[in-house]
Amino acid sequence: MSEKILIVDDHSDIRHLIRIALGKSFEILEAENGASALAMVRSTHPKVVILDVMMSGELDGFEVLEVIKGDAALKDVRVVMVTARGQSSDYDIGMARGADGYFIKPFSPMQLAQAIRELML
Amino acid sequence: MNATLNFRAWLIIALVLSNVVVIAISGYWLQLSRQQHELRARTLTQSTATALDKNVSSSIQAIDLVLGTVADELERQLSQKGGLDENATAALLKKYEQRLPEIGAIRVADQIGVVIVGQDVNKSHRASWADRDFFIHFRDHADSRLRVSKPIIGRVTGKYIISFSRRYNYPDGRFAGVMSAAVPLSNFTDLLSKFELGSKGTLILRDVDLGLITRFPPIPDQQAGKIGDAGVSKSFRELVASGVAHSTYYITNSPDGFERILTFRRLENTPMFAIVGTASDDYLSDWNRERLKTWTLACGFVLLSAIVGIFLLRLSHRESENAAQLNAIFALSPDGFISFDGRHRVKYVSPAFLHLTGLNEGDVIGIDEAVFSAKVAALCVSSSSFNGISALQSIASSETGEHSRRELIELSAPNSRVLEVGLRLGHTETVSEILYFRDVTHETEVNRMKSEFLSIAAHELRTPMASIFGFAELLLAQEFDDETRRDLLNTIYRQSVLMSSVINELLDLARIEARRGKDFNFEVLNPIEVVAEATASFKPPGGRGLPYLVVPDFVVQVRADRKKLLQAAINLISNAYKYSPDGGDVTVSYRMEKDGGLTPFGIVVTDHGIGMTAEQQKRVFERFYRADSSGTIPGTGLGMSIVKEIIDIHGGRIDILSVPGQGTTVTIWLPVLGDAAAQSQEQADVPEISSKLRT
Repeated sequence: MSEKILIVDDHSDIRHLIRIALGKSFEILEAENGASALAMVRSTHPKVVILDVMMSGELDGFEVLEVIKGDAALKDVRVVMVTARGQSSDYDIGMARGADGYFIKPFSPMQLAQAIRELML
Repeated sequence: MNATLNFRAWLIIALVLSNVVVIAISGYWLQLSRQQHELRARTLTQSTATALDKNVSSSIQAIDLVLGTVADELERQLSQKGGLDENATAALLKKYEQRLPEIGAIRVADQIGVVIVGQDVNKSHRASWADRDFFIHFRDHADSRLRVSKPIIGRVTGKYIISFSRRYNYPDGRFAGVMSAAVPLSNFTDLLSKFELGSKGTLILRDVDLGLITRFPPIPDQQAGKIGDAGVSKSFRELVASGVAHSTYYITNSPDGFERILTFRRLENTPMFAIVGTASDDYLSDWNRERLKTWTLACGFVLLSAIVGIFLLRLSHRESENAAQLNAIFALSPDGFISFDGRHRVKYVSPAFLHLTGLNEGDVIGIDEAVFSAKVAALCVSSSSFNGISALQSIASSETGEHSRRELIELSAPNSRVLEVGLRLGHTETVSEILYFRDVTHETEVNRMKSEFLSIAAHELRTPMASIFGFAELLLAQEFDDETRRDLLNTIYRQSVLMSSVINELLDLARIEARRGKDFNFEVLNPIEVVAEATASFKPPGGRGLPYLVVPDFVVQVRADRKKLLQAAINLISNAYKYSPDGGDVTVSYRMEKDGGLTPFGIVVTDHGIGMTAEQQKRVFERFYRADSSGTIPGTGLGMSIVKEIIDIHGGRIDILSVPGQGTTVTIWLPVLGDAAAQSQEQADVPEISSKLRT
């Protein structure tokens, strides 16, 4: 059974881009806002969550990250931020809350896929 | 301000009092001095009168002695020889005349009054005293005493004399004749002139009937200067009548026109009055100089104090003006100021500081830096507290540059605001430092909004760029079948268009906001024509039909920029189509409200799309806000922001009426030119649907 990867982004094009970049080696799940992402993380327990920050809905990506990293049951879930929030302060927030990777849009899908594969090891 | 007024009041009072005291002391001193001078003058006249009395009395005693001796000799001759020896008598008289030079001549008359012996006696033409008062008196009275006459014209000399006469008798006691010593009146005048009473002093001798004997200096041209004149002052007459031996008095209108202090004295051995006077012009001459000097000094003091007072008042006035200017500046300044005195205690608090912080003046005046810092810190939210004045001072001492002495603090409710606190070190002993508090709430909020906007704008640009960049990289790195490749290229193209739109609209918005309509080409136009043009040029998406354009039955003119109004209309129509993805009519109509106030004309765009909640309606003009969260409806989220900016600059407003799931009606209200009522009917509303025209 292949590893699950959850792509969370409110733009379908971005989700589509990452899905293509990751290829067909993984089971790809998608969510378009923070609340549904958290629900899916808890229900599907993906290996990696690729998480946008600025999304519609009540929870933004940093808050979702904080919840995941604060939940002992989800301690083995890796989270890679893929966001347009490119300031150093944003990066600091993400890393402080336990992100396993931080990609700033526009990003290289090839490098992202490589980083995900490394996290899978 | 009150302190200044008090200072001025005290200054004026002090100056007036000091001047009053100086004038009073000067006046009192002058009064004392005058009394001393007057006392001196009184003493002078009294002593002079006494001296004159002694002088005259001693002379008369000598004359009396001489006449007594001559009488004895004549009576001896009559007794021994039965008659007078004229030659021996003449020699005797001559001897005594030489001994007493003040006596002009001594003459002797017989029992019938014929002058028989004496100086200048002419035997061929003998003078007679028979009618003289003194002769008649002695002839009729056995009076052996000396008799002094009033001034009389000498029978021998023809000049005024005073006659001092005695009787001599036969051995049997019968009247034998009279001898008289004639003293020229000028001798008395000379005697008077020897006393020093000043240039305007006077000495007068009067007889018992107050008739003038002589006076010095003489005033021959005036009645009072005539010998025998008895015109005296009332006060003098009353004193004589009172019987006092001597007295001193004051007159203001003497015959020669001077004010004088006078002393009169009854002479001891002679029926005469001596009157001695000194004029105020003399006895007060020194005092007058003193008075002039004193009043000059007093006036100098008054003048000096007035000059000093005016100078101080002007200085005070200038200082109060400066203070008023500074107070007005500080009162009107939106920045709050606190000044600390040399002991580092709060000396002054500006009204703006009290307004900004909500503190009372009484809470801070007089407190030291530490207490003040604690009070300000207590007002701050926990995340942005005030580090205190000492922190600002230490920063200031360790770094250079004014910016290093500033700190941002955030006050908690009820005075929620962000303040910039700055420190300026004082350079005077009275001001150790000045703190200023600037309300930067607005700037901070603007900066926050700018930062947020930039962050959102970056996000909105990065997102399509991520698709473009990512898909392009994939296309270059991987092989795809034709359909997938075409699909990816389509995505790249679509995201490129979106990014281009975002950039263009951002630039539009930035330009409108920056120029605030300065680059708008305003003209008078019919907005209905502009909207018709927008409708005609619009290409409905997905093959949908053109909007219904309701032709109004009124004409209206507005002042607008045609292109901008066209852009706003197209944005609204475009939104109406985008947010009604399931179709439905889009209608464009117009309204003219009779009571529409400043903006009576409305362009109304109605759709039957997804609509908006009340919360979404509130945010519809935010940059990049989109009512559609699904991402399926294309758009930048800037269209309505641009419409609002354009309509704001036209002086209009926008109404939104929307129901989720039912649709949205957006109305642009614009001001019209001329009388709106004349351009419309009572209320030109949407005509019947049957009149709609599909353009």
